[in-house]
Amino acid sequence: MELKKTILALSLTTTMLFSSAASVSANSSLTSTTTGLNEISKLQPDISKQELLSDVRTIAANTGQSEQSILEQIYTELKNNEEQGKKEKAISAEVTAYGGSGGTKSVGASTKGNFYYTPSQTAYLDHGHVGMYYTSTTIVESVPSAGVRTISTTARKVDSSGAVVKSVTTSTANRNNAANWTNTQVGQSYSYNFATNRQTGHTGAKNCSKLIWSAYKLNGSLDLDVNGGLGVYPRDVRDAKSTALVRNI
Amino acid sequence: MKKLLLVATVAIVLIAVLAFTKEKSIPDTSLLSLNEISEKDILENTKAIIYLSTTADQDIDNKGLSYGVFVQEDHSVQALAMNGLELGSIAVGKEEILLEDKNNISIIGDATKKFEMDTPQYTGERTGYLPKNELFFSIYNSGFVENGYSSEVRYGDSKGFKVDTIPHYIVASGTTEKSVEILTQDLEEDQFYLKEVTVDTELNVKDITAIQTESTENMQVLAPVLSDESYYYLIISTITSDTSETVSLYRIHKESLKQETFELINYKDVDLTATIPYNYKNSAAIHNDKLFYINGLGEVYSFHLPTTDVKKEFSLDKASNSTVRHNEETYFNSGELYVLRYNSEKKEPYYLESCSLDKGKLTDSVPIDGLETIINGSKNKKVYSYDLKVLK
Repeated sequence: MELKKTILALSLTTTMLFSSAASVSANSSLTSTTTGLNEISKLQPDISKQELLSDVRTIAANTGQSEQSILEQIYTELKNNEEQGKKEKAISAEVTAYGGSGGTKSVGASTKGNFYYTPSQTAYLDHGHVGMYYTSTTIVESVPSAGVRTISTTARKVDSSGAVVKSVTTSTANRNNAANWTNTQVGQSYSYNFATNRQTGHTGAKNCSKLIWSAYKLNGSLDLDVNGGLGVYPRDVRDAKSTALVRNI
Repeated sequence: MKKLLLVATVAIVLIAVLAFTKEKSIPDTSLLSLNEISEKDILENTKAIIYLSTTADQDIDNKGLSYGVFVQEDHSVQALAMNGLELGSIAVGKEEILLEDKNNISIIGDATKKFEMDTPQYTGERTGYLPKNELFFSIYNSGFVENGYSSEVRYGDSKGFKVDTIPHYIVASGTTEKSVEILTQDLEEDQFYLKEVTVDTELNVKDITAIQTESTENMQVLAPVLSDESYYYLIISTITSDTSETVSLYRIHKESLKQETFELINYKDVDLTATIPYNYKNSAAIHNDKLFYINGLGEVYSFHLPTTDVKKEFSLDKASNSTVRHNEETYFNSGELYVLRYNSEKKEPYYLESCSLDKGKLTDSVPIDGLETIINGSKNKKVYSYDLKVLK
């Protein structure tokens, strides 16, 4: 048993070391705008280069930054998000391989205004996914293509490893208002743009992390994004400093 | 230091081996095309069908997937791969079955027909077959459109499918011979409503009644809508704290619409997520004057319809009280409760049990060879079970 624990600890450490090295190398420079757009498209293929370039130009005009530096920033954020996803997936796989739970769970009930995070796989990236507790038993979340939807907490299944429920450290009024605001967004279409979603409007198409980020930005002026930047990703919301773990799902 | 390095190397090799053996790809012989299902008369030898799908959030690359898994009488499996549909399900008709994904409806019988639908759907609610009208249907929680909530309904048969909508968010549903009963929730009004949906040449939605509750805020629906000649039955729980919950049966008289509430289970100091049924859409049924309900702890309760007595009838053998699930499913049919179960210590970890509701005893248990390979077969996607139908 002790040997098993030692092997698990060592292998987790090894994975984290390798992942950290990869993360550092992600910050390499992009040589041109075209290279930047191409590299970003590999990490976020559902957004057209034209759409991305248009966003970049708008941000550049508003901030005075060069297009190149904005592309660098987007690329670094996407690459770091990808590396973090890989690292967390590897740790989760190792825990499961060594007798961890594996399997699935229902997200279960929680307090209105809390949110849940789950790892979420795509063919090219583990983005993660977040959804808001509109009531204690109803989730409002934005999912690809369908857009912002409601789903019962008994129906919503997630992986048993890595999923969490978190609360937001603010007043009950802010939590309730934020949850109510997400419900007003049900029916809005899905946006595939994570890279610059902090810069886009609060209403209209949005992805899962933008939904929760906007809800608390508009209701409590909270910035649920652990690292700022141009994009708010699901893990950025999960790890934001104004949040607290309620339970592991 | 050398020792540590050696141990670390061994660990990494071990993990690689474990990962390799865990993520076996699905053998070609287990995957079928729609045509092969008909040509090989797969239904003839099918004991059960399981529906697996990715969740909607995994469809971000438009590569969500689902499987209709045909469990054969020799315990082997053959699977039809389709696009994804979270909460999708299977309907069993007269010598035909309906399988669905976000874009298509497939009717499988002597001949196989596939209908591509104009609008994709991402959140299933219920599929079924209405014998009186000889029609299949499938209902989806589609989401808001310009003028309010819309739940799309696809209904038809092997000749074709029509599409209509129900303007409500649906939290539970159930079927009779000729209608679909739906429980809708108005989140603004904080109210549940019971309605009846009929389909023939066109779709009709009839209001039955509003459910008498103080608030729906801490309530969750745990079972399909059931009915007999005189009453509708709903199973809804009220969460009173993080570890306490009361599960109640709501009985509504079909003519007077009088409502009564009976306590089924009172949970105290338990992990409430563990008590959620394996599949809340297939967690209850009426048989021999009793309404049976199975919770997520594998406990089967009954409500005696003539006397209203509540009784814990039996429990599944070695059922887990953990919140972790391994695609367990339930299905009631002809006095039997069928349960798709998982035991990691068995050679084939997935197996299908059947229990007699009258005797409260296990009547059969068969392994399902190869289901684990299908469930773990996708490297970058995770499929979850959403339905089980047992044909024989």
